[in-house]
Amino acid sequence: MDSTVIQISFLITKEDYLSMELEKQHWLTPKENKVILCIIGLTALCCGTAAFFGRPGSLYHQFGLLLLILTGFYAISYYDLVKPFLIKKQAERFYEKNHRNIGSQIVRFYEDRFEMTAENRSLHIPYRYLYKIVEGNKILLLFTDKNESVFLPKRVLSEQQLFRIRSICHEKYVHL
Amino acid sequence: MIMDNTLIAEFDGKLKIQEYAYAYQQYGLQYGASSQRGVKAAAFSVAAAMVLYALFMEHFNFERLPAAAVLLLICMYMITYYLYLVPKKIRLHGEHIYKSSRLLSKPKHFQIYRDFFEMHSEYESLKRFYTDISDCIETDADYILIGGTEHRVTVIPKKTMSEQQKQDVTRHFRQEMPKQYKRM
Repeated sequence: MDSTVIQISFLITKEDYLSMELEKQHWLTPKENKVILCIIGLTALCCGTAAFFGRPGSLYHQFGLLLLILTGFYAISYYDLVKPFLIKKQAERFYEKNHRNIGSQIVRFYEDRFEMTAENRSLHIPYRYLYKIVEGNKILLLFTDKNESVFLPKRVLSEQQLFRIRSICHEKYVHL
Repeated sequence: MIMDNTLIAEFDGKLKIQEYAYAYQQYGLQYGASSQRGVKAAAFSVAAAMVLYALFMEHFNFERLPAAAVLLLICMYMITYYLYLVPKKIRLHGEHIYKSSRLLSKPKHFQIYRDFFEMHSEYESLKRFYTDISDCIETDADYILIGGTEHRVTVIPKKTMSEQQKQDVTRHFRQEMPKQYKRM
């Protein structure tokens, strides 16, 4: 006879939804992409700056170098500033349009499985079938595969509950 | 108000990895960063042409050759990337998603109703109203529906459907989702 270890019911707020989208994208973006883009950005920035001040040329030449410098800045700041801004704006628009459908969820953690019940969806799977459990700053993401996830905001969990979830699911658990 | 939950079609389905990867590729090529790749490839073609023009503008200039060569290489790579590498990359990503999932390979039971569809498997039940669907893509092999708060990609395989069921479901999706429906 299994007993419910943790049961949580909550309503998804706008803040929850925005945090989920940001942290999910942060997790799904490969680290090497960020590194490569930073390297490209730094290279463009350094070469552009050196040529701009070191070898003055025609107006077109200087304009091209200025574009190169700006491209460098854009590339360096893309994953930390630009992309989060775009994701946040898109998520805000989506939430404003669909918040009536987003609704509430009930999540139950058992010893061997996890259950989620929402208005239009229910899920009950053993932990071994989960792909990953990712803990972010504000959100807990339970990935059923590389792409799809269920989330719950950490604000609805007490410290003991969070500790218990970490210990039950330790094999698949990662911190963002 | 009485909801008319007329059942349009009911059938079982199971996806194999290549079927899911193909469906995911069709979805990925239509939306997001990979969409309009033809336009992007064309833009880089124009950029390459402009580089060549600038290079030869003042009769051939050796000093411009290295920079022009680098820019041309980048343009050629981006053209190849958008036209050939992107579809392959998306399909590969679809395969990785399938392999990472223990749910996608499970047999599913589909019920298409007038106002919504339902999908049931051993571990999951999903009910999606057509008003929540943002996109509906029909291919020769399946129906791909994207919707919900999680922008979920639901693939309904056609292989176990009869011809009559396929016609009924296609007609119904076209009728209920005229703006979202697309035939590939």
